[in-house]
Amino acid sequence: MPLAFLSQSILHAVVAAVFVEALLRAWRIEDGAWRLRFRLLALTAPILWLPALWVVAPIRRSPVFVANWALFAGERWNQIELAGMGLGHFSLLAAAGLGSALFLRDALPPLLDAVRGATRPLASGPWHPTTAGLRSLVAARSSALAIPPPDVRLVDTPTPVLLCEGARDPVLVVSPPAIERLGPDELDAAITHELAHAKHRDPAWGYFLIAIRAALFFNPAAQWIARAMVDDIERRADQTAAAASGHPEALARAIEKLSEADHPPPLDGHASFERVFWRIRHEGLARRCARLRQAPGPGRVRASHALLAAAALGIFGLVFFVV
Amino acid sequence: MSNRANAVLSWLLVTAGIAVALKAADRVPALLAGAPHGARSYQTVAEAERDTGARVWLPTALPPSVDWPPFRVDAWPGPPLSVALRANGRSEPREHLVIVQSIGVPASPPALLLEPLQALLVTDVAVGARRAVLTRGLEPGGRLVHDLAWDAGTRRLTLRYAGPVEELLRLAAAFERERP
Repeated sequence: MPLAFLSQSILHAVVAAVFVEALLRAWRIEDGAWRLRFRLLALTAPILWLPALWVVAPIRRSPVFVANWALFAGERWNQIELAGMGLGHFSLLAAAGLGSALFLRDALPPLLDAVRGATRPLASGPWHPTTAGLRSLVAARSSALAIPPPDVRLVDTPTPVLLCEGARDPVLVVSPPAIERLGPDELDAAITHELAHAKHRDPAWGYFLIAIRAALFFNPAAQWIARAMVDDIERRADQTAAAASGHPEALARAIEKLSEADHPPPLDGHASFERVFWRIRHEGLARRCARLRQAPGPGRVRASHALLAAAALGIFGLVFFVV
Repeated sequence: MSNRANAVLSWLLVTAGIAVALKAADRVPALLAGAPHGARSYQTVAEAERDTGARVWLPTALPPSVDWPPFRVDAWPGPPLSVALRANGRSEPREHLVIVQSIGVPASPPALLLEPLQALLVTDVAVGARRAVLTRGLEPGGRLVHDLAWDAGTRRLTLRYAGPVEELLRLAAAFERERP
């Protein structure tokens, strides 16, 4: 694959990511479902539009277009040399390294867990007291969300686990420490949040995103967009759960408790980058809980398909002239 | 402000802001390299020929004051494709001779390859069997130079020289003698 294609893939993803982020802030779109659509639009820039432009508009690669029409041309940076290499190629290499690191950081731990068999199911038939209690709660909340109740699976881990998995048939995975740690209203809210994931088929979104991230492993901007989409998936589940349970405060408390147990602050002896990652994660969770505790404010504009089309037009218009 | 007007204004501001930021960032390499924006710069004539796929005509004789080979070769994809060879003077590290040639179609040099002169005197002269235009003028920096331009088939050659005009005419004649 030519270097120019990889370079444009990264540049287009950067432009699309910045454009969409700026629009989401300018328009103050808080709805998780709409934010997800806008981010997906940004992700189409490197996945769909660039290959299409590559085939349909080869004129973009001509020297005349680059010299006269391009808003930004990556190849111009090769005029400056750094350690015997053009700065454009040097930046491409650095960006590919960063993209790969971001991908591996998120993809490796679950892969290693799967290989090691980090969790094992408990003998939890319908007769198990915890399962029976959970099942009735899950049934009630599923009914409120108008979905069939998913299966509940207990796993034996020392850490609290509460998640929804299964792309085709969602399953609620719970560990006893999660149930023990949460109060009744918190467990209710947390279960509703996981059921919201089942309602929106979020595990399938998860597989889709990891596949995209694997295909664009070299592209740090695409990795960033995909991570932002995961945040928006969580935001959408939070909003659905808060609306269904009517207890956003309980959900915020549950998130704080589970996160605290799952990701305790690193000790002093840990590497500084680990503390930085923990801090970023912690601050993200704090913002998420603050959003839940605040009454939803009015957006500056109401999200609509027309705005989505305007964003698509803007991204396409910009990336066409980025070569 | 209405919902729709707010949305349109935000969209315009964001789009324009990103376009301006991209355009500004695009100018940085040229600023850092000291080369004209939009043109591609090369270290050697061979590199320029390889990349543009065009044959660049070279002078067969040069005044002794010119430090040859050129310190930089700039190519503007056009249309038409134009190539500028820049050579310093031997006694001073300053642009002393610039040879610009449009390739494929006779055309004036683009301003980004050769800044227009403030003409003081324009006369017709002969370069071999061809008619040429000799311009005595001031560069934007105020230096007195001569431009000599003539068409040779599908090319226009423009020479800018900071030395005596007789040397420029001899250079052009030598240039032309070798051409079919």
